[in-house]
Amino acid sequence: MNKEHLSDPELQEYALNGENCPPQFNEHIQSCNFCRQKAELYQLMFSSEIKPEAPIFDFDLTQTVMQQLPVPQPTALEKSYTIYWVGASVFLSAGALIYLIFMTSRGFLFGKITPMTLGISITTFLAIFAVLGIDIFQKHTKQMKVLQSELQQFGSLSV
Amino acid sequence: MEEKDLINRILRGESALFAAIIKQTQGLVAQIVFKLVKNPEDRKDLAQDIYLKTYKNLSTFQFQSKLSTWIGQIAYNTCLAYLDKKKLVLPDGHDSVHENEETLLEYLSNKTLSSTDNETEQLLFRAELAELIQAALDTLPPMYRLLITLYHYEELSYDEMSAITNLPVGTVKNYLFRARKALKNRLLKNYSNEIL
Repeated sequence: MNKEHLSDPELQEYALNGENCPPQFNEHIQSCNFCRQKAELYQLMFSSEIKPEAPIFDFDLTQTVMQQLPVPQPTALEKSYTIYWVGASVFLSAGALIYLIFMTSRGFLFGKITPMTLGISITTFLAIFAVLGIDIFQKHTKQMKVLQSELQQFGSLSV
Repeated sequence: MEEKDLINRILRGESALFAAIIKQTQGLVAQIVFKLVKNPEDRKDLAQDIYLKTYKNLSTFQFQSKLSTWIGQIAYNTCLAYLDKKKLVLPDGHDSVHENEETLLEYLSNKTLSSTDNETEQLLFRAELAELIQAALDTLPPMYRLLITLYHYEELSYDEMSAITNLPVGTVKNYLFRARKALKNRLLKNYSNEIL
C-alpha cells in the first residue's frame, strides 16, 4: 500500500468518478480507512438523496416580467408594406367602382365626352383618391403612436 | 415547440410566448441569483432585469448554445454587475482542515453505517445532513456556491458552466475542486458544532 494519503483532488476524482480512476487510487482506498471515509463523505455530500431544495422566487416572475414587456411595434418594413397595400386597395376599389358606373351608364352620362377627357378625369380622380387614402393612414399611425406613448407614460406614473 | 421556432415567433411580435421561456428557465436563473445575491429585494429586481434584458437582446441570440445557457450567462453577468456596483468583492475561500477531522470522519462513517438498518433513522440522518450541507453551502464564497450548484444540482456540463461564467473550462474545474473541499471542511466544522 502507498503510505501517502490521496490528495483532495484525487479523493474527489475517486468519489465522484470512481470507474475512470487510476487503479492505484482504488488500491489505496481499500487499505486506508482515513481516505475511504473522506471519499465516502464526498459521495454522501453530492448524492441525489441529500440534494438541498432548489430556491424559488416568492413572487410570480412570469407575470411581473410580462407586464413590463414593450408593446410589439410593427417593423419599418411592415409599415412600408402596409402603406402600399392600403394605397393599392383604395386604387383598385375606386377603379372598380368607376368602371362599373361607366359600363352601366356610359350612353347616358358620357355620351358627349371624348375618350381622352374621360381617361384623364379617371386617372386624376384615382390619383387624388390614393393620395388621400395614404395621408389618412399616415395620420392614423401618428395618432396611435402619440396615444401609445401617453398610455406608457401613464402606466409608468401609476407604478 | 422548437427553441428556434419559439424565438422566431416572439421576434415576429408574439411576445406572449416569452412567458414560456421564463417558465422554462427560471429554475436556473433562481439558482444563479440566489447563490450570488443575498438580499431578497435585490434578487427580485435582478430577476426582472435579467428577463427584460433577455427579451431586449433576443434577436442577437445566435443559437450557438442552448437558450438556457445564454440566459444563464445574462443572469450571471447581471449579478456580477450588481456585485461590482455594491462593491462586494467575491472573497477568496481559504478553509483550514478541521483539527478533529479524523474523529469526525470516523463518527460520520459509523453514523452512516449504523443508520442503514433503520429506515426512519436513516431518513432523519439524511435530512439533518442536507440541512447542514445547505448551511455550509451558504457560508461559502458566492462563486463556489454557484459552481457547486450548477454542477451538482443543475447538472450542467463544464462547457455550459464555462459559457455562463465566462471562465476557461480548466479554471471552472479547478474552482470546483476547491469549492468541494471548502464545503467538506465547513460541513465538518458545522457537524462538530452539532455533536460536541
